[in-house]
Amino acid sequence: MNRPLLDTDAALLRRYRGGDAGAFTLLYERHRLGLLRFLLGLCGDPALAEEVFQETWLSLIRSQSEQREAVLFKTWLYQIGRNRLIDHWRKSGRRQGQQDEYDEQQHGALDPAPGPEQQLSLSRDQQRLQAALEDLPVEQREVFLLRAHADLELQEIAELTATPMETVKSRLRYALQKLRRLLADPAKAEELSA
Amino acid sequence: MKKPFNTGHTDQPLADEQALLEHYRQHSLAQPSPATDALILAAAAAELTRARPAALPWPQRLHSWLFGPGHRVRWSVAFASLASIGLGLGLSLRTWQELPPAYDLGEPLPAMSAAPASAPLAEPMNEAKELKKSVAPAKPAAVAAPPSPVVAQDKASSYSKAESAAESAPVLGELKANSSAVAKKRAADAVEAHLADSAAKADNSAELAKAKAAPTLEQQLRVLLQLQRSGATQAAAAELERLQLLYPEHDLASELAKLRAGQP
Repeated sequence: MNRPLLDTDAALLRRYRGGDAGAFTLLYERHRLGLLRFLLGLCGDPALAEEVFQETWLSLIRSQSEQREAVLFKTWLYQIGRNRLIDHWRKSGRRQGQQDEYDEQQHGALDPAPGPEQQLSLSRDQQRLQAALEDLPVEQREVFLLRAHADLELQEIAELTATPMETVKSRLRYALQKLRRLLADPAKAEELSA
Repeated sequence: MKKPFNTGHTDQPLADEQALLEHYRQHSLAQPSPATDALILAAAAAELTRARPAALPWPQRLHSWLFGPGHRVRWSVAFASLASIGLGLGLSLRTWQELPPAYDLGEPLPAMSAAPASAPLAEPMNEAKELKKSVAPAKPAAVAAPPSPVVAQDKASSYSKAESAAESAPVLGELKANSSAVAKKRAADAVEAHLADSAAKADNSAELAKAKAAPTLEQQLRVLLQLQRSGATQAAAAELERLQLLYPEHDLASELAKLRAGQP
């Protein structure tokens, strides 16, 4: 679906830099929910997510630099948010999940899980979803969240996270498999979240 | 909607991924607080007020105008403005250079010299000058030749020389320089031809010429007297005849007698 050129994110940002405050409001309305949910899904802390969310937008407002032509505004925005969150983790001394110990190969085998309709019917509870998500390694969770909330392509996720394309692809595959498995087995999900 | 990600398992339906993502989206209900929204929007508006372009110095404003958003259109506008200014300057300078110089700044342009003078004023002046030149036949060609743009300045200088020579009355010097009878005859013929030509012109012009030539009658009679004394009888007779035509109301014979009696 092609949007008119003047309504693209880059055009709105240019209009804002040119003095149009309304253009920024449009841009903000377009990305506020996705960015906050991405940050919340990544850190699991609503207060921290909102703080990083605020810093991200303020950083964009105060930055006089223009977005690079080759990079989507959305990629740029989520990259700022991600880097801010990583800075917070570094300052607080928190380890970024279990990604160091996580062996991606152990999830390489096909999962004999039931079909998606059956899975979805079994997992309507939001808490179970969040618990299953938090059980994922941070790197897999990050790829899944960028796909779900930012609606980014794999190539764009690879650029944002500075990760090879094949690695991003495998991380998403493992994340999907594990989520399906966790959501299909409520007992296991509750055990993990406990 | 983006195309589903192929997980690499060809037998796995691709809709599986999309269903899971959509399901997750539907259950994500978090949103920023109104206070956060207001703070961010207020900060955006305040930043615009703070970084107003009018507060910048003009070189920086020009730079941001040329290289800021929409710079392609602005470069075109800037280039078109420069081209218009250059074209206007070029046309103005070219027009200015082609204007004739002022009348008092140097020698006139050929086009200005060739312009015809008004007849009632120019003709009597020329006649008077040529009459004076008749007493200085050193340059007879200048009298007979038609006015030429190229020699306009030479003629002007020769006129002034002839006038000064006539008024200082260097009669003897002139006669020594032009002692041959042939030269005198040629000069007399030229004067006669010119008089015949000028007689056909307007009466007003003739009267003006006479008025200008009247003070020189005595000098011309002296010249005639010298011609008679030097033995150039034919030239003297022609000159006398010419003077009688010019001054019919004068008794030239008695005038000559008086002059002859007065001279040593």
